[in-house]
Amino acid sequence: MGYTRVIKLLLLCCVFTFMTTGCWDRKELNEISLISGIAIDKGENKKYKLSAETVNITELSPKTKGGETPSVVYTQEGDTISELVQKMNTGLSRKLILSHMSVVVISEEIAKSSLMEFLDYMDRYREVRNDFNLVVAKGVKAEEILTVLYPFQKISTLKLKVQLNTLQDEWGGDPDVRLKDFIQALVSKGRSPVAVALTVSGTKHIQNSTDIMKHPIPPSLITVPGMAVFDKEKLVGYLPLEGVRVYLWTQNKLRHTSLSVPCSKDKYINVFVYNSSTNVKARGKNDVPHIQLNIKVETILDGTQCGADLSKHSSYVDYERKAADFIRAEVLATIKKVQKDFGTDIFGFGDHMHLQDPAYFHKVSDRWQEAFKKANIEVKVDARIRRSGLDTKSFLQQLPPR
Amino acid sequence: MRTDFVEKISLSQFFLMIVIFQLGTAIVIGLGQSAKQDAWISVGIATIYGVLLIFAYCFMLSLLPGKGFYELLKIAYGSLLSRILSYFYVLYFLYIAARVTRDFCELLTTAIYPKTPIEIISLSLALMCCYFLYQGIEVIGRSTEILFPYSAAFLILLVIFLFINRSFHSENLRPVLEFGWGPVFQAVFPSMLGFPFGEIVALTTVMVAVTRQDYLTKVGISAVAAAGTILMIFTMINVSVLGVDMIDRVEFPLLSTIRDISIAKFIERLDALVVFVMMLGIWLKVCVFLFAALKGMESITLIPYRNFVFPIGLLVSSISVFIAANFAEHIEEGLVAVPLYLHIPFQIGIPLVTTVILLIKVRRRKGEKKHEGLDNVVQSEN
Amino acid sequence: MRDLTTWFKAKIRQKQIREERIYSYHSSTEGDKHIHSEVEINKQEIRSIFGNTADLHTIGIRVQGREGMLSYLSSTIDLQMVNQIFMEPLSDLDGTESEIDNDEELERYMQTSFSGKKYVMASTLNQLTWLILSGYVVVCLDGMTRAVALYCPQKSQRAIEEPTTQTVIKGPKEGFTESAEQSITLIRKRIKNPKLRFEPFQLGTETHTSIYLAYIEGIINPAILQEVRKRIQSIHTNAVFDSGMIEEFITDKTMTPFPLVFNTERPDTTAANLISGKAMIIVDGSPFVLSMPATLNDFFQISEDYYQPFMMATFIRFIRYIAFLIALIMPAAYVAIITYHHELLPTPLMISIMAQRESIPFPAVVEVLIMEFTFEILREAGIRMPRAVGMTVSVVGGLVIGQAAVEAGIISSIMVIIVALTAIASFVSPVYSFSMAARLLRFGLVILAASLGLYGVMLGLFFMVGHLNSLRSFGIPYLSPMAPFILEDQKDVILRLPVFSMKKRPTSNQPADVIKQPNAHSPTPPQKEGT
Repeated sequence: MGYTRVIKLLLLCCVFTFMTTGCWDRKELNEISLISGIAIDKGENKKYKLSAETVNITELSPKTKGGETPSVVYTQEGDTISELVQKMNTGLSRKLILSHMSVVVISEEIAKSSLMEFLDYMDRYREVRNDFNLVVAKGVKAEEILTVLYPFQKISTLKLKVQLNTLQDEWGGDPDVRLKDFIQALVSKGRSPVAVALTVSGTKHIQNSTDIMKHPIPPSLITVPGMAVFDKEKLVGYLPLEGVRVYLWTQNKLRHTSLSVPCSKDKYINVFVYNSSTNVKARGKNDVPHIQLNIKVETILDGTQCGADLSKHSSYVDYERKAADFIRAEVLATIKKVQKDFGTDIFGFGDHMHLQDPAYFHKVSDRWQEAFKKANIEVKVDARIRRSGLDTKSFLQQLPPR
Repeated sequence: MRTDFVEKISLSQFFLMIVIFQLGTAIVIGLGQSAKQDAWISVGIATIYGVLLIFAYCFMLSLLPGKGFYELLKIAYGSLLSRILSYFYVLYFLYIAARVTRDFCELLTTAIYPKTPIEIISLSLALMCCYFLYQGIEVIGRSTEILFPYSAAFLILLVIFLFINRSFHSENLRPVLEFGWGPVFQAVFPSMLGFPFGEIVALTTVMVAVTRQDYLTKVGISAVAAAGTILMIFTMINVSVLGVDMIDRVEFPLLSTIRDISIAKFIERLDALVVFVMMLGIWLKVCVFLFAALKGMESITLIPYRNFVFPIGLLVSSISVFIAANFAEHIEEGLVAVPLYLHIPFQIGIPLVTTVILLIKVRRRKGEKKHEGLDNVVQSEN
Repeated sequence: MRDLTTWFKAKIRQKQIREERIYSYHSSTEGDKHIHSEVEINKQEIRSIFGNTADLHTIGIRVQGREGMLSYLSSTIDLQMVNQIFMEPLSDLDGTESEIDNDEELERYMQTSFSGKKYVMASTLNQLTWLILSGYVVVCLDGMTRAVALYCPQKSQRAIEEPTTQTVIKGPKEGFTESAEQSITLIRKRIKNPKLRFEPFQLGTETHTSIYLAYIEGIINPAILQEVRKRIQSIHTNAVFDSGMIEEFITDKTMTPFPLVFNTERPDTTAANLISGKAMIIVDGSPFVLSMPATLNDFFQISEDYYQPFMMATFIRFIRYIAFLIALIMPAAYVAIITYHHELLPTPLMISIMAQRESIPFPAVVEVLIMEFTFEILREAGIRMPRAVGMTVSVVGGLVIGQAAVEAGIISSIMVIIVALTAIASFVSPVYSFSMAARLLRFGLVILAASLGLYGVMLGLFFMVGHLNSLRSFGIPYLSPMAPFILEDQKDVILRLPVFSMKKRPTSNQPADVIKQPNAHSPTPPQKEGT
């Protein structure tokens, strides 16, 4: 027994050595600083210019805030993002962690000159998570996006995250692209990536001030103009906001949206889509891809300017037909535009083809982009209006004749 | 050394041990990536092989009931040759134990502790396993029983979360058999034969301790089948969540799968937790391999194995650090050299030959008994 | 290394020798003299044995012309009872002719005049001493070589009150008192069964405390009973004041924070334990009754579980297990996540915690340890202080220190929440001695968490599970119905199924008689139409 006792003693010593010398990866919370977002521009001398927005944490807590700037943005140039992140302390005080990053802004310049290799670092680095928004700064420098403050979430990037999520949820204006999706689209033979585009509207000189938060009409605001379209890693153009909605429709990702459907000249009915599902069928016929989109939407009638009698089934049917036509026209127009202008399959029809007609896809997989341009697109829309709000008849019907 | 009672493990413990043993590292590292979206078919084929294998092992042990694996070697090959074979088995088991330790260390240092020296992690893991081995196989069996529900609950929860998160994209699993059966079988042979199913060979040393030997084969087969099914399901889940391209790219598929979960902006970032759930499998594997090695040393030296526990544990932790200079070397070794030169002889070759020899010997002995039956009776009367 | 080993061995041997010497001194039987026929000499002897202690009374009497002596310790006997049942018959005899000439006649006389009373005939001085000590009144008569001792014990005991540490809302409110006899009464009141046995033992070479081993013959596993007996008999101690002192002597392993012997001060719990095939040890002078073998889940159950609807009982039991886990790992998990795994926290929570910790000068571990220690000090002070002050100290002290520390910016407010939750959770365990385990292990886990993060916590928990699995209580594995897993017992471990479904006793105690209530069935109210 004596022998085991000695062993136990030695083990105890071992354990205590562990404990006292441990803590290699320890990071106390007041020694670190969260990076809430980064912006990547093209460097003037080096390959990249990285701007990181770090959070001034005391300003975000209602108990400790004191009117200082809620975030600090620091910019540096270098050849790899990894090095730049580690080197940020040339200007900033604390250790930076990337795990709570919510937005990565890529400048137009970077995207156009296909310098997307830094995504490898993002994909590989354990601290970077898959829950941030990948955005393209349209017409402005990427770092400018980080410096527009907002009174609610204070920090521009946190505001952006909330803004984009809400936009996607309520209207369908954000393609909901995460890092993983982006890379998936890059490597897939039958798809090209997209990313939401952002721009700064309003006067730019006032951006850097916390005063921006004191105006009821913000002098400067980040807005979503649409979506950036990539041909693999190269930015080739933008689609407007309606294009984003069509994109979501093709991806079966649209949650809610609102449509203004013309019912007669300069008169519209307003339809709120609360449920939508899309089924894509892809077939290769005579060496031409045939894509069929079956879109089913369930809607609520939110308003009408035409004033039909909505207690009658026939007016529902009429409106449903009009809404379906409208959707079909919008979807077709956007897809045609992408085929004609960009010639890159952002909708992932190639992936569908791969699943549904693998034999054909294997034939064209190397020149899918060409095939996509010639693709025959067919859209079938089944729109249903289920109910029409609190009124049946419109008061427009009851107006006394003039 | 406690000699006053024999350590036993129950059938349910044995069942859980096999299941967790099989899932252990396989669920973390992922199987059959080269078969792309058909990886699950490869796993299914490998499961059939695993079932056959455990049936064979149980058959071998049932030839001479109550005898452990090393005793069988002794009976089959005689004292000297069996001693040499046992030595090699001890080395083999130690090496595999070190590999498993290394797998876990790589996972931890990659995913959570980039700055912590790998030595510390492997040493602490090895010490923990030593503690359990010192307490005996009974405690290991019971601890498996206690810890299993937690990791099972976690895995089930995980699937539910993935479901709620709408992470499943069943189209990732199609088209089935896009490139025919070729890649599927290529994924199975030879790498999936040795790992994870072939590693059951270590469990042969544990099987003697099971209380009800008559159910051994049945329980063993159903456990391997269950483990195979779970592996198949998780291979499908990984592919359907991550997609073929990403599966091909990532080091630890399940970890990446879990990074996908984000529910209500609150249930997210679970990957660090998963690592610790995986600890159960790693712990059991290291324990069983070490136990197999220690039992071998016991049979060679005739010294109770508890005397070797701590030195061997420390040895394994250092081997695990030395076996490979980097992760790529570690994985390459595991995929290229180990299956061919270690797994096949130790998992299939030697046991097969042993079984044949034992069969002959047992037959002959039975025959002798019939012949000498009368003589024996006479002798016993005298 | 060899030197160290021999040193250890020598050390142990020395200790053994010392102990043997002490025990041999106390159990020596020298001077066991017979009672002298002259009363005066006996008187001298007794006086010299007790050394003129104030409560020793030796009163001269005359019985039927014979000189005699009445001897007792006024502290152990009931004087009124002595007067009533003892002096009257004796004085009745006064004046009549002498009938008591020898010891046989004395005994016959005792039988007739004190029939029904408990008396003992003593022949040696040692016996006499012992009888006097345990509440007997001793009568020596001139010319007799044997003395009569009549049992007139003092009944000064606490009234039966509600138990203080194991309280229930719904259920019997009686609790054991310090008197073993009363405890036995309370148990017997609940189990009217001739198979219920109380085996007397005497422990303590200096205190001679009586203890009783209670069990139900035919239910308890004979092997376990024999083991308990053996362990009680092998106790060599000089004093026993509480059952806790026995516990350390009979437990399977002392190097463990987990109690391997269950204790209760509730008669209904005791009765339930007896019926499920356990042995109980009642110690005179202690309201806590020991129960063995004990398994981990015993410490999460209380008799009230069986007095309320089963769904409620299951839910509450579940809460207890969760609370134990919280008490065990909450501070450790907090430290680990805060210092190692920031990515586990959702961003808003992260920001909120960071803002709180911004101005804290300590690392998170130190903060946790400071608060935990403070809490433990407050708790101890709250118990030890006079009851009137105690509550104030524990509650107000906690609040004030917590509040002040937060406002001074030394401690973050989330830390106070964590410590408070941990503390409350550790109170949930129905058995006080069990919450100790969580309290002790918590510190170990916190340190592990601080040095290796969640991996450290997991290592600690694995060690704990291994340790728990290596424990046995009187041969029964400590985690018994869970590992080794016994399906039948699961009706009453984490779940508490309706009582009628439990037709068998828990087999984890390996009772001799497994069947409990074979004919139990669910209530069958008249059925409604159409069902």
